[in-house]
Amino acid sequence: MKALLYLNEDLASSIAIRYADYLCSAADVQLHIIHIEEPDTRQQAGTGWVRRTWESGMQETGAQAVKRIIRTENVKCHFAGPPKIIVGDKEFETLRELRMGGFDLYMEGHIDTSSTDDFYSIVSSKLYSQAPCPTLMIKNLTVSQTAAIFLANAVDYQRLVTRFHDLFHNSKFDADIIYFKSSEQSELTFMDISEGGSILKETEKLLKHTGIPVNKTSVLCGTPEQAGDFLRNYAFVAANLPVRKSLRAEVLAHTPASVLFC
Amino acid sequence: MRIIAAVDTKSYSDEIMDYVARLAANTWSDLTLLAIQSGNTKIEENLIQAIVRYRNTVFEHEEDAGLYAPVSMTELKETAKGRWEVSSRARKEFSVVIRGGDARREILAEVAERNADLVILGCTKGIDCIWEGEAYLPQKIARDAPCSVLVIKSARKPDQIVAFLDQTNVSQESLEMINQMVTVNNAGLKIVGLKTPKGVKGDVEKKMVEILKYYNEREIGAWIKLVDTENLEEYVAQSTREGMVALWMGKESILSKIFARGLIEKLISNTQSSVLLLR
Amino acid sequence: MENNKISILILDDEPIVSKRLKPSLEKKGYLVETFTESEAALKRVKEKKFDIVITDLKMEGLSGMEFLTEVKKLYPDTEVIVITGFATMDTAKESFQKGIFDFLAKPFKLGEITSVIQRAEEKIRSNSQS
Repeated sequence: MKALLYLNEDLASSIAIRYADYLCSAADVQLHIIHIEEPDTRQQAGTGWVRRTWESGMQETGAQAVKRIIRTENVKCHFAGPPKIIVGDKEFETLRELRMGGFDLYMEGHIDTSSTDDFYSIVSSKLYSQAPCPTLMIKNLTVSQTAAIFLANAVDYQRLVTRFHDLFHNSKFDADIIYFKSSEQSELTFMDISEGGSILKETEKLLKHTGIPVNKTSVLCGTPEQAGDFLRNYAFVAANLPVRKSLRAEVLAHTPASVLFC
Repeated sequence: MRIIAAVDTKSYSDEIMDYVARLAANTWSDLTLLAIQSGNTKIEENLIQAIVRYRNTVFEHEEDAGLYAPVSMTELKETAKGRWEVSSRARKEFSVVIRGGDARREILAEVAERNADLVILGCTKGIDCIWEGEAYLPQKIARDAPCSVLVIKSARKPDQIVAFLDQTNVSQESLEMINQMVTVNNAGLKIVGLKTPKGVKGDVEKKMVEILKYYNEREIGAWIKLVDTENLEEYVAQSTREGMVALWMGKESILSKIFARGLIEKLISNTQSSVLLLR
Repeated sequence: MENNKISILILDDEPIVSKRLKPSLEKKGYLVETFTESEAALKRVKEKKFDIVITDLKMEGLSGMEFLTEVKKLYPDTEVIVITGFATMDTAKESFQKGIFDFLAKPFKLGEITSVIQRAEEKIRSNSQS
């Protein structure tokens, strides 16, 4: 798979690059790096030679920052080419790179916060909603070989399974199927898998058909916080990109695990 | 490590002994069972019976490793007015100390005498946390002890430790105490960092990367979460439902400045699991 | 022993441990060498016999357990003190089976480790007299 990793010189990227390193050891990943220097509007320098000199200065600053983070994190994975440093708007340039480069996956670090508003603002951004490929929001470094296929009422399981299969069919990852049902209670409970209805049944069938090994299937019943916390040990949680605020989306907002939006 | 388990004759002291014994055995610590009674002229019989039970639990966990040598209650000697002690040493020291008098004062005095690293005590499950008939005693010990304090309200083994490590000043001892708790409980670790409305400062981020690396390199599953300082109290309260909550409250800790006065007391009152105050 | 002074090797991948211990032990008259990498410590041990070795268990490369095994193989009478941030009953038992002098879980106070070192010193001195 051809993956693009966004790096900056911060805690989120520090986690993201180490996570990407782990991903490369578990799946066949051709890893590309991108960094975008976003100029302050007041910084926009003139035209012609003046602008080119100013841009190359910014590019150099960005290149140094990326070099520093790669060196500090001391990762073992191989990068497909030198990091790409672009000056411009982050969303616009990243989307353009994803389209032009024919990438299969986009990854970036986002530190898990207690605010669901932060999460909604990221997933509703142009970058996530218009990305031509799945996006992986790396929140933490969870070293596991099991991913969670996250289901709830009315999810597009076909899209979820197909995308998951396209990316990870030749990897070391296997999957658990997790179906979420919301309920206000003091502790998370597990229900009979028949409570997952036809979506769960069809997902199991489809995964079997695509040859992805499934370890276990669970139906969780609890609050988004409880379910999000339950998911913390998974390598990542594969889910549909939320298009509106919902309890299902809140699980993804609360989980400390990374989330793969398909 | 030197551990003091403060005990009385109540059922919550019985309930924490399994945890105390497991922690002491796994960390090969010097262990003192500190029993408190109100009178200081003679040892109360029911206290002796309780101590014998606690001692037996300790020796069950020791797995014949030769960690502690047995002690007999008949060998208790009055070392000062209202203080009796019996000690033995195999690979590590095991002591039983009985003190009569005001529970808070006696516990803190023993902690100071032994230069303990950790005090562990249980209490009733309600918000007043009664210990030996005294309300809010665990809160007072947590507030006044010079070392780390673990208050156990539920003996259930935590599967997660939520550590509020003040990322700018966290001490090496705090990190090490967390390591041992994670190892003994085979638990996951959530490291909670503080974020101001302006975001996270560069030096704070750098420190958090170091803390995360510290645990990752030691193969401890750790997750980072950033919490707005204004939501901190609420988040801490919520975390007490998730597992053991660990707060660094050292002299330089920004947490002790951010938290409203009396938060430790509130936290211990409201927790359903256990609270570890790191110093 | 050099000039009747006890020599100590400290191996811990966390520099802060050596930084804390070295000056205090030197002040007490011990000859102290510190290492943060087990391979370098092993190389040194092969060149020179130390009276006391203090080692962490969990390190990159050669583990503390492998290191202490090597030390005891080379010099059975060197007293080894294990310090670890990740103590378990099994690791402690295994360490004692290999003949270590004592096992300390972190965090520990300076006084605690110095008293263990003093006990090890007493043992070394009484063995050398007999």
